Amino acid sequence: MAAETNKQQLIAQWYDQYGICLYKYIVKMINDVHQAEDLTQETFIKAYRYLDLESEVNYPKTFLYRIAHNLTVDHVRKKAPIYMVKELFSTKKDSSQSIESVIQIREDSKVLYESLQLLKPSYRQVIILRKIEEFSIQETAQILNWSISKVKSTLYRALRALEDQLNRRGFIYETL
Amino acid sequence: MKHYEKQYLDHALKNLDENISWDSKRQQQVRTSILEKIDQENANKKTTNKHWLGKTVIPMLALVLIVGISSTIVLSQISERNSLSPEDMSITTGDVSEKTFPYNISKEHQSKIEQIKKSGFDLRIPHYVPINTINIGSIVKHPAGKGHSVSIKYFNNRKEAFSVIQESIKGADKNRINQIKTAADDAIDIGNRKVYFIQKQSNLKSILFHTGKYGFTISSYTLKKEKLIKIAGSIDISNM
Repeated sequence: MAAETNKQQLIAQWYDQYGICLYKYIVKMINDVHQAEDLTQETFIKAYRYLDLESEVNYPKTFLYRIAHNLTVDHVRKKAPIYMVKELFSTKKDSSQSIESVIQIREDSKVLYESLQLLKPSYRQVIILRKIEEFSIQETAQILNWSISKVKSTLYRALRALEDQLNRRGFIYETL
Repeated sequence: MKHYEKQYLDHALKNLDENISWDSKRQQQVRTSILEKIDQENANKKTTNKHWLGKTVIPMLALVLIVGISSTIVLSQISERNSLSPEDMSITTGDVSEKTFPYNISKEHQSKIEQIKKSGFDLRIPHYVPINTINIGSIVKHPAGKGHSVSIKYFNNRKEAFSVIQESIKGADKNRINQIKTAADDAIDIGNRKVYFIQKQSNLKSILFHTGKYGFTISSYTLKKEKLIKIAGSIDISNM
């Protein structure tokens, strides 16, 4: 009973610490705010079940991202055909409105956000984890279950693809 | 890509998350929902999660009990089927277990048997009936040739199950015994006696055998040959 309470407290603690980051990661991956909330919830429930097996977790952030990544990949695989049909028949305006009803994206980040959405999932994943979430190459490899060299090469190609998208959309590079 | 452009893109990507906000109420809702679901899972676990003893030993014991009971039932049914033919079943409405003599013999029949024995007729009755609802329905002694015969009819729920006729053998009857031997469908050895099986077209099945002094005929329309042989075998013919 006490062990269960401790585990529950740990999950609550992890949620307070990583919940928003995970949610944002999932939103960036699937571009669906409502589904992202469900998947965030599912991530923590799966983490609890894992803890329930009395397994130790040394790096909770990497551990949680890995669960979130797997759930996201599963979701993308399952929903891919539906998503494509939905995209075909819906206008961009509607999609943007639905996201903004829940999260707020500032105007200057919109182009970058949208360009990211146009990349293929593996490119999007590696850019988000390395450049936005700032995981190390080893951590990224662990989360994605890739080799280190695959992370490096995919990141290189992903950044090139993102630059292309940004150039097409007239993204302005300002000097820092 | 120029160096400053690369720097700017890195910077913009790092700041992307900061520029995305999530409504705090919804954050709290998700938090509450997670904790509620965990509570629910724990509650469900309490009802299903038991000590290892309950998880392993009890189901195993239950399984052993089920297997034991079902195999006993199956075996008893098989043995009943072996001992009871469909014909037997057609004449029974009660318990079908076998029983050996003495079976329920009414006082009236008991005194009749004793009376016949006192008259010098060494009456022997079967020690076996295939169904325990079978009882003696009638005992009749009448003259036959130079001697006597006793006919005992066994009834099962007011229907005749089989009959046993015991008749005394005199010198002239030996020819008739020889005729029976040649007309018999089958001759079977049961212990120290040889019995003869005859089945007529009317489905009346008979087992015949004799000692030095008496001839026995067990007949039935409903019982199987094997049951009739068993009845014949249960008649004590020692010192006859």
